[in-house]
Amino acid sequence: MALQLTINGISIGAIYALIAVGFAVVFNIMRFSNFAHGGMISACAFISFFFQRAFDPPPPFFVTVLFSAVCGMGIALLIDTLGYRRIRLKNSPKIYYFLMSLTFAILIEQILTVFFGTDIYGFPSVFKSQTFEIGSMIFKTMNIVILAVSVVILVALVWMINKTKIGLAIRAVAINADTSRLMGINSSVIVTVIFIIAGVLAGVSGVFLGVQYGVFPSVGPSMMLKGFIASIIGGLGSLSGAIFAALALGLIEMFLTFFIGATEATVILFGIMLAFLFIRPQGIMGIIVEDKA
Amino acid sequence: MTEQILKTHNLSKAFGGVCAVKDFNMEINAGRIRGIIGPNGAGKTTIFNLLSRIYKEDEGTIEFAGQDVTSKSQIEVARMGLSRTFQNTRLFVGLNVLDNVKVALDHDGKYSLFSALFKLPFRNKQERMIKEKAMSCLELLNLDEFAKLSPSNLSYGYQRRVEIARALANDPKVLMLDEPAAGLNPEETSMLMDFIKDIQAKYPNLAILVIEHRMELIMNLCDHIYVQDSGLTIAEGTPAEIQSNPKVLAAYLGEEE
Amino acid sequence: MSAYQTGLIVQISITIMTVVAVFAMTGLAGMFSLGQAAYMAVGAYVTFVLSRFLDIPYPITGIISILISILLSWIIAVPTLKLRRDYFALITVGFSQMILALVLLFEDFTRGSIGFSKIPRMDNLLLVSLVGLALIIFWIRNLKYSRFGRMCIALKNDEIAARSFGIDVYHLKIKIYVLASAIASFAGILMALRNRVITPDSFGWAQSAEMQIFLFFGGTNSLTGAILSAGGLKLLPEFVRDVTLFGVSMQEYRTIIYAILIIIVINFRPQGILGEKEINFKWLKNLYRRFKQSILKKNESYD
Repeated sequence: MALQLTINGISIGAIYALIAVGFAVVFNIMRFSNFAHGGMISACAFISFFFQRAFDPPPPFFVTVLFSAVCGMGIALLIDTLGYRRIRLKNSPKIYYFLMSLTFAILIEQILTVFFGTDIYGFPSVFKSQTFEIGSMIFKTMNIVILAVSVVILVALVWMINKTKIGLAIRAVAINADTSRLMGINSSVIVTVIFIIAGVLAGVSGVFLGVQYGVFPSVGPSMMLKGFIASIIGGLGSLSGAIFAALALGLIEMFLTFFIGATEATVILFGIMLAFLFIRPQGIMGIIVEDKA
Repeated sequence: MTEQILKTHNLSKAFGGVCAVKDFNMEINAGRIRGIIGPNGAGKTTIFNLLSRIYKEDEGTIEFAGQDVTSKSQIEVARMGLSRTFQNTRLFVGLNVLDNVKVALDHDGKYSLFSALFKLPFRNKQERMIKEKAMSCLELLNLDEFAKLSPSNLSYGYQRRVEIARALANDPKVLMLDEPAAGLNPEETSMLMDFIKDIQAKYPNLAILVIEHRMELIMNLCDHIYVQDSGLTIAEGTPAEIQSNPKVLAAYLGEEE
Repeated sequence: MSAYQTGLIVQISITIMTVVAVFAMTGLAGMFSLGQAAYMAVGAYVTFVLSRFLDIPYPITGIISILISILLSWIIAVPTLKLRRDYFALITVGFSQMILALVLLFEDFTRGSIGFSKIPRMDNLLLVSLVGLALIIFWIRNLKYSRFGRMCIALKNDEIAARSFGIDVYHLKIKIYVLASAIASFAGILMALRNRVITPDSFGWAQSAEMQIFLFFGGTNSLTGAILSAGGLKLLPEFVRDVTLFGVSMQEYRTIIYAILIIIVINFRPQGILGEKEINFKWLKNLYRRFKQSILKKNESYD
């Protein structure tokens, strides 16, 4: 039992990690909390749901994930163009990014609500066999797939940021945008790359959330909160911190839900976050983001 | 008159292993103007940020008005009478010139949030006092005609003056000016220098500490100068001594290419 | 006046109240909270659940609920406002989510997502709402033109510079946040009295975001702008109730329209419709004088 709970927990945690990282990459570069991320996730959940249903027989699952990722990318770039580009060019205060991202989150959620209602659409089953057994233990196939795909994506992302040239440029901009501009890094290219990454992550996590929790307009925003909590516990601005915190969060939530109840779990998780801010505001990775003097 | 109002001992600060200020020792008496000069990146603004407690020092002590202030916060030293301006004018947008000066007095305002919300007579009386004090500060510095204007409508030179007036509103003991002439044209600069000398005459007990990277400005203003380069004090003395110091010339000639 | 009109006026007063409170918090002090609807929930639920189960008249439990909101907002503010502004917004989202989870958790008392409907009728609700609104506007106007308002505007612009003038940024922010939350919980009580039913989904973070949208639409630096835009935008959907698009009533599109409007405003007029202007007696007098001058000038040109 404990092992199954652990696997389930880590699998949920892996989705939270995708969300938290999608949120953290934007925060690192642009220094604002991208609420629109939740809206993007909802939109991708719906897109993948209809995509999966549109064909008979349904397309292989990885095609749906890929399609959703591409759509997520498109939505992210669209939001950037319509919402953030002018603010960036005008060098407006951060609060405008904030409001803009919020507005897009609400816009997407409302459009989905008006056209599809607030009902929960169950994702059609993807695999022939829902479960498989190893010895006496039964695993859900989907949990393992989610875990595997998330790990591959996160490892690829961390590799890209730490080892490639574009990753180096991203890190440079994250540390100091002004200096990087002087060093010849084209920050608008970096911003585009960042939104592509965020969009892909939103697309993938949208499919996974749809499969696990069903498809409904507020699926993204409500789950995004867990991503937020993870990035705060991990230390705003630290990718690896966010990943660890998200996995831990998934585990804790799974056990709490199993032993106490889902609603109680939400309250307790928030309590943990508040306690963290009291005791260790810099998060587990010890990086505290402060404004420059 | 020769009371030391501000004094540092071996003040040091490093950022990520790069030493910004190393063993900085200075002292200033009431009524005097002292200057800190040095090329860009010499750690001058870091010294100001350490003195005003925006940064926490790695080592060393700061003594202000007879007290060790190393453990005090930015707010506390500000309230003790350590006032400063910033390198780029940082007037508060959304407040007019008069309100910008009032803000400097507001922390000391006597009325509570409750009397503010209900606009009680006590609040009105206190507000009048704040306004009078702010106006008299503007009048003393001949800025009263701009009181109702938004700072963004003023020329850069006048914005600087308003910033200095704001820093003086609460009768500080020490005024720190961070590159007051940056971004000003030669005419505005010489007017600003006269303005600072005027302040010295009008506030006889005020100690003024000025940062500059242009030597000629500071030479006829200060009676004592510290020269910083790469975090270290390479020379100190009267303007005449500094001007003939070979180390200083080397640092400066090196910088000017 | 018909019941519909009375209800509408009360609803708009409530909206303006919440937006005025958000003006103090976001417009003056630059704190971006998405938890104000949660304080409305605290006000509504605590007042009427306590009143019903402890058998105390609701005006008394109303005061208790406001006190609880004050305590809660203080608990949230103390650890969070020490940190960067971003944390604050995130924590407030989490907080609103937690409050709604608590409502579901105490289902036995709150009736969970079905909604708590045993709310007494209040006969002079219209009068109470209008007086409450007038008082709150009076307060926040006074706040803006007091030393607290000036210090808020200063810290919103530049916290470090504000500190260097001895402004205790942290404690000032706590005060303003607590004040705004108390007002929100009062508005929540009125809303419960108006709707006669409270459900958790009317207090989500999207409701809090709507307050921010109204504020930014009018202009974050203008109190009258906030009042006019809150009133106007809330009233707007009432005129298009009967219009349909794709078979859906325009009323349903309300939030979508708000969102599109604010996207346009932030792109092309980020300071909001009114910018920093306050519409007051002096402004009207100036307008009149300019109007007269332009007429005089026209007459002169005819001579």
